[in-house]
Amino acid sequence: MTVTAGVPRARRARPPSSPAAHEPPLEAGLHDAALRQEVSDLRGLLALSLLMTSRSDEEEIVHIVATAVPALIPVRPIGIQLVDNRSRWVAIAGPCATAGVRSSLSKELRRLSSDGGEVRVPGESWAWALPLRSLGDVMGHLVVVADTEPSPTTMLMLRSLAQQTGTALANARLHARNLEANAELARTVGALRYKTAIHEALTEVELSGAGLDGIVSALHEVTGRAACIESSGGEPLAAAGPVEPWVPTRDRRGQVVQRALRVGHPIRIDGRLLTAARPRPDVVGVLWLDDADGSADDQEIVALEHARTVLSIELSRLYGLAETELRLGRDLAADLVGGVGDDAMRRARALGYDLSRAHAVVVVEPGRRAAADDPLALTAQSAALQQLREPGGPPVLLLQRESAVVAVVPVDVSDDDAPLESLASSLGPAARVAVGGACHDPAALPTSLRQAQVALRIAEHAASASRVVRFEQLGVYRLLAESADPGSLDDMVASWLGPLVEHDRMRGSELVRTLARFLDHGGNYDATADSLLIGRTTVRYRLRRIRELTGYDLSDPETRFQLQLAVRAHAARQALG
Amino acid sequence: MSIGSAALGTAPADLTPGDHVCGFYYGEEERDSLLLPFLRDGFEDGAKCVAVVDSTAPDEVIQRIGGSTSSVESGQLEFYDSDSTYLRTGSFDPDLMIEFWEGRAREITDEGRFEAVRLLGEMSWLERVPPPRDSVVRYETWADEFVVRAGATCLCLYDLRKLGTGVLMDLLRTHPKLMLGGLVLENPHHMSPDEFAAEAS
Repeated sequence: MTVTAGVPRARRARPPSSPAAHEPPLEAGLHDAALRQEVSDLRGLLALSLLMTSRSDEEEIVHIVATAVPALIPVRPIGIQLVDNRSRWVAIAGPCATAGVRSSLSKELRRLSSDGGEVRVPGESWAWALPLRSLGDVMGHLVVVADTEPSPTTMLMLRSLAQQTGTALANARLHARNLEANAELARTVGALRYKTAIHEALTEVELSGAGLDGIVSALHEVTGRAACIESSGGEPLAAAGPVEPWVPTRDRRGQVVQRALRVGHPIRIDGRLLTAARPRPDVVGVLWLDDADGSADDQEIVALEHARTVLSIELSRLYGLAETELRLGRDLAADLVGGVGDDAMRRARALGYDLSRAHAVVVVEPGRRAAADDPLALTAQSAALQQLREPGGPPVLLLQRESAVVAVVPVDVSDDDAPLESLASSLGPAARVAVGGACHDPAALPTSLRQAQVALRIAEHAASASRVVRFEQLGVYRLLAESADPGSLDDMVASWLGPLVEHDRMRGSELVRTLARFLDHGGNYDATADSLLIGRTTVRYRLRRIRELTGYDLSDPETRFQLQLAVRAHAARQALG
Repeated sequence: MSIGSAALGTAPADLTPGDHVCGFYYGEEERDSLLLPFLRDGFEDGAKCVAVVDSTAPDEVIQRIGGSTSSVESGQLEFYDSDSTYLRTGSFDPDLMIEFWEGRAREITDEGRFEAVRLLGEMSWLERVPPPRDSVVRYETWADEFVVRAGATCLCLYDLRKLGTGVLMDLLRTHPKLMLGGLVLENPHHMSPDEFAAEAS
């Protein structure tokens, strides 16, 4: 309070009651002046009431009262105790500045009647507490002091002021409650709108058949977070937004997925909000939102839960559809590569396959053991193989053989490396694609299958770096694999490599493999060591053992040729089992 | 102090020439909700606007009501700060301020360019340089008569946080209208300058 207060203006004395009918002129003048003063004070109280009721903050109302009272009523306010959920003192002055006085007053206020009354304040000859009321509720008390007991008129003014203050406080509290209720309502409406948006977005996904991509796109759009759907084994099925791959160990992934299935609601794990859907006992889809900073809120959890429901439906539909679609083609493919005759041909024609064109068998090996027992992963591989589908043509004929997928495709497709390379890349770093020989007669498809399998095995045994291997490009391996007299090949291997094969078998050594790489690298020790990921000294040691066991002169060109042929024959025989 | 980003509301439409209105406020946001619409509406209506501001810079207010250097150079907007007016001598001298406003009114009348005049005085300096209470009362009592005589519309802004004990009731007596909750209300406690003089005597 900074304007120089000075002394409250002197107030005229007031007669205690109405004037008599025939009072002397002086007394009548005094009476008129007192009446004018009362009217003025009441108008002041009215103006003050206007000011107070225009405020929506309790502290501001209290401040106005504390500021105005001394100028309006000849008493001194020393404090206001506001009561809501708890009581608190505000606008404290004079003796009320002492905690002990406030404590003592608080006890007295609790015992006062609803009309208020006199209270004891140390050092003050008169002290009064006035209830701040509105509609029966007591908002608190105004405590005032004076040197002498005020007149009844002053007390009336005080009570009126207290009543007006109580009304203003009640208004402010009602206003605050309204604001709070409105804010809560706005939050509720916001949450409902969000849920509606989620519902609409995901319903649209279901209706439009946007599939797994639609689910993650809708989730990403609604939450603003990267979203991903994976198989339980970690096979990526769909993603939207800047997805950071989730790469836990296989065991940990399994534990997390089981936990998510068990708890039934999204869990926070590795910077993700993750949930799992299991529409069938053998089909599990994992859905997660990026939550690196752990800030995903309840609404986003609701979105994820809703998306999980849609994912369950979609997986069930997809898998069922895939099963139905594939069953016919699978049966046909099995018959074709199994060598069943005319009936398969008729069914192929009925299903839109033109087997009069040259076809070849393609075998895709994803290179992961996990895929073999994961229906979703196999489904994903099968779906990936549809990349090879010709525009406007029927679906690629597929057949699952353990962890591998076998496809029968026209040679126009299988001759092109690019889609096969792309297919291998989409299935992971260890995936390999093998192509059997072209068949102009469907009856030769079993041979094409065997050739593709041989190519795959030889590529594995020969540690080929190629992602796509073709039987027709196996060179000497192809001759060896197609030899009409396997026994003579075994004899040749035994003759040239017998001691080394036996040594490897007995000791678990790698002398044949070392010899093969040494010959492949033209006798270069360093290149041999690098390709085997061993030291040069070890290479030298192994070659010395080879010389000791066989007596070969590895610098002799003829010996080296024979040995190169022998190690390839060995690889081919190994690959063919 | 900055007037910040307070929204420009609309000044009550029932302001008329000769109105001497008191606007009480708590805080900058509420101050701006009274100050900006009052001046903006006057400016947009082509009225002469003379304002003395204290807790915000004149240039900021001019910008916020849509004014520019040209509107200042044209004489339509005339803004001052409190240091060059209310506190020109370092403290508040009501006679000097009365002289200031009378001078501005004479000049505006002599020019005869503006049909309407809006005057605004922001009194938040009261806390910084507290004047005697009687000085404020005398000044506002004069203003009550002056505004009617000058045919201007006047808004006095008081920060309730910065009012000393007693002066609030004096201000209620010396302003015929109050701006409360976006409305201009008749002040039941107002006393005319003559009534106030009689009361004081």
